[in-house]
Amino acid sequence: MAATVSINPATPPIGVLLAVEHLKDSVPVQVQEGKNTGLKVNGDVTFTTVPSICRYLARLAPGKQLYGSNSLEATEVDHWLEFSAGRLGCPADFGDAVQYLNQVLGPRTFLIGHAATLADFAVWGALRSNNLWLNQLDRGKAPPHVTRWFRFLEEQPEF
Amino acid sequence: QAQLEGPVRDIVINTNPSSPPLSLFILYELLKQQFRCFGSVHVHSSVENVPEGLCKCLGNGIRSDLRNRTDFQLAITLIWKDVKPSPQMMMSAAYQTPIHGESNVARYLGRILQPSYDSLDPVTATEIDTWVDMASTQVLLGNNKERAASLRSLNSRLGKHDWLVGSGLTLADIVMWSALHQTGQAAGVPANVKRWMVACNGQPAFQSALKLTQS
Repeated sequence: MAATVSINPATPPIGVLLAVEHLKDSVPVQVQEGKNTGLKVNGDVTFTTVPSICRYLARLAPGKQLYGSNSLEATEVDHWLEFSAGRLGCPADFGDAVQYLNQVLGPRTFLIGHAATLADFAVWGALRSNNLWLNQLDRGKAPPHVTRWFRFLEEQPEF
Repeated sequence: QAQLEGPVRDIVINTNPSSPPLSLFILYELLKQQFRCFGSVHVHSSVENVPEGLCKCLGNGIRSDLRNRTDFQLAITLIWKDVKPSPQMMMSAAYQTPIHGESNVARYLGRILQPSYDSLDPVTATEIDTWVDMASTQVLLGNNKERAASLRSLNSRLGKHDWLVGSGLTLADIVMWSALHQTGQAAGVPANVKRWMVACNGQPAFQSALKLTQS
């Protein structure tokens, strides 16, 4: 099944682009420039948010397990999709949110299980486009586990 | 009765009595119709004066000392506690991050009700998730402006359809209905939303959820 995603190059939805890159062998997705982020499914349905587009693409290729490998992992993915769109995007909560993320990442390489999922894409993408985070990182003030995880993913060819 | 893989699923949910998660009560009613459920409710010392209805919210007359937990397929322990964000769900402390938020706990219970949720129809599942996201981030956690915008989207959708997604009740309706009640908006909704709320209220599981908060 093919799909076309519109993106505005000025504010690229990084989480969506990472999902597209990881799925390219299973789901051919065309990326085109537009005013707004969107994935049109049919005349009635267009998904416009990063979580919705990521969910839809991952569901087209269940074998890739980007949505986790069981119902609990799928719900953990949901938890992080909401976290990336909610707390990480809210400047007032950003500091606490990153501390929370740091605590969770202490014993982990990926947010869920032993491979990258939508959770990593969405949270990484939300940080990558967040100036508060880039500032922390530049000044060496970012918490250690988040920094390690962020740098590790950055080195993966898909990122 | 439906089958659940593996041993009894043990779910612990901490949640705040100042904003009872109605959607979870509805889902518990629906789960009871499919599985042998063991529900227990506790009150943590961080909260006081929890209404009686809430203290009995999963009570279905089963005395825990008379039945063996292994007779059940699903064990849900609800703890009224001063937690933020609320609710928080825990299955296995060693392998998972606690699941935060009513929307996500509802998604997990929804997946128990319908294990094929993610794979059956990607478009429908994602449409449902989009409404669930809106209920969570714009209604439950949103400001007045975001709530007003959500009501406009809801009213527009429900002008052309009876339910939020597809031709029947889904998780989208359950979580959105719950969010509107919890944020005190159930009374003053626009006409199409009102008609949909009446249809929701006609469902027995919604009725019993509402009663819990009124006692």
